Amino acid sequence: MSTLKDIQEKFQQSILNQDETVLEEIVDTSKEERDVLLGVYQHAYGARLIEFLENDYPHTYNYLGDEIFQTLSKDYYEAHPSDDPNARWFGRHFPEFLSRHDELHSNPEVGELAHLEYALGLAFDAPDLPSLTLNAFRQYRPEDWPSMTFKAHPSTSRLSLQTNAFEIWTSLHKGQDVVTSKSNAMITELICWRGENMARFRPMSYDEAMIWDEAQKGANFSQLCEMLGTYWPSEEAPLKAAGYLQAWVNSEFLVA
Amino acid sequence: MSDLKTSRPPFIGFGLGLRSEHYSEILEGDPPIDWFEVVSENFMVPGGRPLQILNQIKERYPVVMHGVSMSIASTQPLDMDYLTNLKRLAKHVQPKWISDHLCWTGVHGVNLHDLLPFPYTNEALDHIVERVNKVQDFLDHPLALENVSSYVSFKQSELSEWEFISELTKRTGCWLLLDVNNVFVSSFNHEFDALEFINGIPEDRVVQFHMAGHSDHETYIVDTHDAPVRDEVWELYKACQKRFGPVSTIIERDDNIPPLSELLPEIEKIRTIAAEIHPSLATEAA
Repeated sequence: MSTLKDIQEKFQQSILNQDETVLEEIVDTSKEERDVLLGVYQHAYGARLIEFLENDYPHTYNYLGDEIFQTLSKDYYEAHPSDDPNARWFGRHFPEFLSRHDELHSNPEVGELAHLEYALGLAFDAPDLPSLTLNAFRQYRPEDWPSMTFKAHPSTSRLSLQTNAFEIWTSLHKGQDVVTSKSNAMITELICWRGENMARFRPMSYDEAMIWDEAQKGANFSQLCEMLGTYWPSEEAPLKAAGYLQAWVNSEFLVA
Repeated sequence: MSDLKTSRPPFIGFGLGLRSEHYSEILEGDPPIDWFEVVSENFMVPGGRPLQILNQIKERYPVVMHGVSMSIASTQPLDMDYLTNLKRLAKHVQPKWISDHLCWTGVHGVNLHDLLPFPYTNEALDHIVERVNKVQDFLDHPLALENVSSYVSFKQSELSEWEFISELTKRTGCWLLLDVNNVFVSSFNHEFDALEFINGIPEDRVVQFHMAGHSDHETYIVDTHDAPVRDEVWELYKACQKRFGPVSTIIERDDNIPPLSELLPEIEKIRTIAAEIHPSLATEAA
């Protein structure tokens, strides 16, 4: 006699792999055969997971269209069955999966579009740590500035895009005609964060992106100024760094 | 067990399952809704707007936490990380009770995100009793379990669903969230009398009803929660309020979610029917 454990394993296999061994454990009703009834669960599984992805990646869904999105989603959930009790995290590998998918080799903008949407999702419900305010920032003495380091708010994430996925995202977001995909001549640097309760993006110049990334690796203000010296005359670098820093504080990029 | 776990949760009236589509209508208006049931997992996130909304809701209304991932009937070990997060959220929300489903959601670390059926055997009963006791001890809040809609029955079942549920409550002291629509759906799918189910459940254990709609596929019914409550389910609701009531009730809509104004008449209807059966409710409201 099958144990509860046996039955659950067989039932799960019927959903994940269409292995219908579990049918031997199930009864027909007078109105319907057991394989049709089991099919309710088999169908609901895929439909539900695709719906999770549609909700988390609405612009990727619109960009690809229903049929292609469903096919790619099926590939995804077969490769990455959900392993988290919270559906919120089921799609966390989807952007990388799309970026590596053979069928999308000529469409790298798709993976980047999904990366953008994932970053927005992370910003939306990131931890509520207090941001560094301008007033708090002004309390630092000038002699402390050179050694100051800066910690990113957990809602922030950086993206470096090799395609025009940001333009595609913007056109989809505004409900405009979707722009044609293309590779960027130069990388588009973006930062995503939550400001005033909204998940947001903005482009970063190369020098700003560079010092942001270095600051997150632990570089202090003095080192950031030195790095900016590769872009700007050395006498302008500290002013430039202070300007970026002020913008980061104003936008709530940094934690207190 | 402490008093908090064993004392009967209070009657809190007639409410709605909280959905993001209604946030602004609820917080900017003053809809005649007594309480909200929130899906626990939607708020088991690090921070941001979901938790801010929940804070505003809990300041104004009683809240009950309703989960979908406890997987109490699974044969894989209890997910203590999940339960720890659930307990943390409960400490913050202070719900009137915590509920989840009498089902399993996966084994071997996989979550199928569905409310899956199992055979009603004594083996399953022993297994689930042990897990319910552990969860109740851990959560330190009243735990209510919900009957799910199911589409298959197992050859091995030794008990009816209502016999299984009754034994479970006797052996664990857990409370019940009776989904009236699910009773109807399962009674059609498994060809039993819904009233026999209802009359087989202990009168004193039910602390909440769910009311919802479903989809009819002729030879079986699917619990879609995407439509208004059907007439047959309203009839069952009357029988339930008579047997168990007055019992706190919500309208639960999970898909095809209309504006709040379209759900308010259903909330009014669950209130009116209960008041007709239990006139003291109408007196209290007056």
